[in-house]
Parts: sequence; C-alpha cells; structure tokens
Amino acid sequence: MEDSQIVDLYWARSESAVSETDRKYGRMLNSISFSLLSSAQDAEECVNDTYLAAWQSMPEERPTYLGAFLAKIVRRISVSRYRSEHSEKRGGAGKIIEELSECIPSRSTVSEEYENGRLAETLNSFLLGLDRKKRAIFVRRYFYSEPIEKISAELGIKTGSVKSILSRTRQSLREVLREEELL
Amino acid sequence: MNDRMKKAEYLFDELGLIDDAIVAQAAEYNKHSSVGVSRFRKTVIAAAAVMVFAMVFTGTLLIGFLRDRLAPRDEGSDDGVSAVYSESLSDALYKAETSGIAEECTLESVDLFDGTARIIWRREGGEYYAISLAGAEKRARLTRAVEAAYSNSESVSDGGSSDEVSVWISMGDGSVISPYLKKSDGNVGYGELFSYSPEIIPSSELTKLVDDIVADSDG
Repeated sequence: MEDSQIVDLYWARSESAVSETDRKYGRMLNSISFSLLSSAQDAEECVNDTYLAAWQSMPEERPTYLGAFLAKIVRRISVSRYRSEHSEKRGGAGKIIEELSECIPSRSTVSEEYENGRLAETLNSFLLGLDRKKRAIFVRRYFYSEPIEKISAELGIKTGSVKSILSRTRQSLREVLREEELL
Repeated sequence: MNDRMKKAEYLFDELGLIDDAIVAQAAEYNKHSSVGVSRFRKTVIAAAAVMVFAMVFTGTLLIGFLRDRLAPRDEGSDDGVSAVYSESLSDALYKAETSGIAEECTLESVDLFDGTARIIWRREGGEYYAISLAGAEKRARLTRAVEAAYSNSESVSDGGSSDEVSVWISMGDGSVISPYLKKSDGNVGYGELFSYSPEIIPSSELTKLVDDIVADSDG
C-alpha cells in the first residue's frame, strides 16, 4: 500500500492504519529499535509506542515520507528508553554515540550554548554535500543505527570499506563542526 | 559521562532530526543500488557476451578473408571457384576473345611503353589479343596474379595444360613477363614479346582477373 493511502487511513481513524503500517514498516522499525536497545522485547514495545505516537500525531500531521516519519519516532522513543534503562551498558546506542564522539572538535568548550536549529541545519547541509553512497552509509549507521555488517551486506560493500567511509565522513563532519564553531 | 560524550549524545539526538527526505533516501538507497547493481551486472554480462560473439564472428570472417586474400593461390586450392570461374587461363582468355572485350592486335601495334598494363596472348598459329587493364585496382590484382604464378609449384609437366597459348603480361613500362614462366633471369623480357616454353601453370588469380574483366564488360 502506498504511504499516502496509509496516511489516509490514519486520517480516517481506521484501525487498519496500524496493521498496514506494521506490514510495511514493522520490520524496519523493529530493526532500528533493536539496534539501539539490543533487546527484542524492548524493541517490540518501542515499535508499539511508535504506532501509538503516529496515531496520536495524525491527522494533525500529514508526513510526506511516512517511513522517515515513523523512523524518527521509533528512534526517539528507543533512545529515551535506552537512556532510562540501559545507560550503563556498552553497545547499542552507546557504541554509536561513542563513534560520534570523534566528530566533536577537541578544542570546543564545555559551554552549553548548543545552538539549536543551527546544528540540524548544518547537519542537513553537510549530508546533502556528500555523494549518495556516503550519505546513505552515514545515515544508515547514525540515524537508523544499523550494524556495519548489515550496511556492508545490503549495499554490497566490504565491511572495511564501510568503516573507512564512516571514519572519513566523521572526520569531515568534525571539520565542519569546528569551522561552524558548533559543539 | 564526560563533556565530549555529552556532546556526542547531543549530536546523536540531532541526527535524529535530519530532513525526512535524507532519511527516506538513505533507506531507499539500498533498494535502488541493489537493483542498480543487478542491472549493471546484467548489462555488463550481456555486453561482454555480445562482444565475445562479435569478436569470434569478426575473427572468423577476418581469418577467412585473410586466408582468401593472402594465401598463395593455385589451381589445386581453388575450392569451388571452378564452378564459377574458368577452369584454366586459356578458357578465360577464350571468353575474352569471344565476348569482344579483347582487342585483336598485331605484334607491332602493341605499345609496351605506353603506361598501360595489358594481358596479351596468342594461340598457336593465331592472332594476338590484348586486354588493357584500367585502374590501380586491376593493376594491383595483375601484379598479385603474376607473383602467385611464380610461387605456383605445379608445373605444366606435372599434368597441367600447356593450352597451346602463349601469354604475356606487359606492365606498360617495357617490362614483359609470362605467367607461364618462373620468375628468373631470362624469363622476364624487356621491350618484346619473347618466345618461351611453358614451365608452370598460371595462377587461378590471373584466371579470375580475366573472368572478372569479362564479367565487368558484360555488366
């Protein structure tokens, strides 16, 4: 079923909206959540919470990219759960965050002056400046939290190449953040 | 958690807010690229197969062509040609005589220095005939035919026909040779149609050339 048809179901308050969503995006949403939480049960609960959030957010919202819309929700819910229940564990979101720490310029201050909005804008601009392949690898790793092995297998690229691309992209982002004096 | 990790976590959160289109494209990239790679591979394989077939086909044609053009020609290796072409030079010359394209001439009237290549012949006790070869292509074929005749190892005494006809090739510069003779001192004359005794059978190339000249005049 097309995204627009599923959204129509939400807007019509049809209960089949959730089942159609689950049929089309359930696996992807579970994958995101599991990557962050390393728990199938937690992931399943987060996905259900995502459906509920989607149900509540529509009809006010009418997402153009339903998959991305749902992915953002499940990511946010999963990270929140991770922080509340798994903060001491390594792996999952912790491992990804650790990788991302390489993007933080070493000379940055500890100030809390995170310039909201400006960072998201810079990230969008940075990602759009990458070629499609690098952008896809970076987003799949740091947005979808996909394991490197999965990215490697699905894109038909060697694991070492994926790691190499991610490393170089992190360094590029680090330079951009330093130039923009962000973080 | 140190400050660096806090910022990393903040960055991680911000990455969760990137543009929907970027998120969607990243998810789709796998599908597109997989299909793309698959199509690309299929295209490459198909192109490679076509190239291989084309190379084999072209190679076969080329080998056949080169074999046909470069291999020494003789009567014995003239596969299938005899059905179309004259079986001997004598027959081909006879066609030329009867078709009217050969000019009857006298020994004195043939100018061996006028720059025109000619095939000249005379049957025993008969008149002289000549065919002028216009154009570089025919002249080149004539040269090849004569060279092939020299390399022809089948001699008249081996059973080939002497045909009771004498043939000379005039290159128009005074040099005169006979396709019935091996190219050796004394067998290449100058300024005259010399007497000779047949030693070898003329090449099939020369026979074909005469046949082609007759066919061209008919067409």
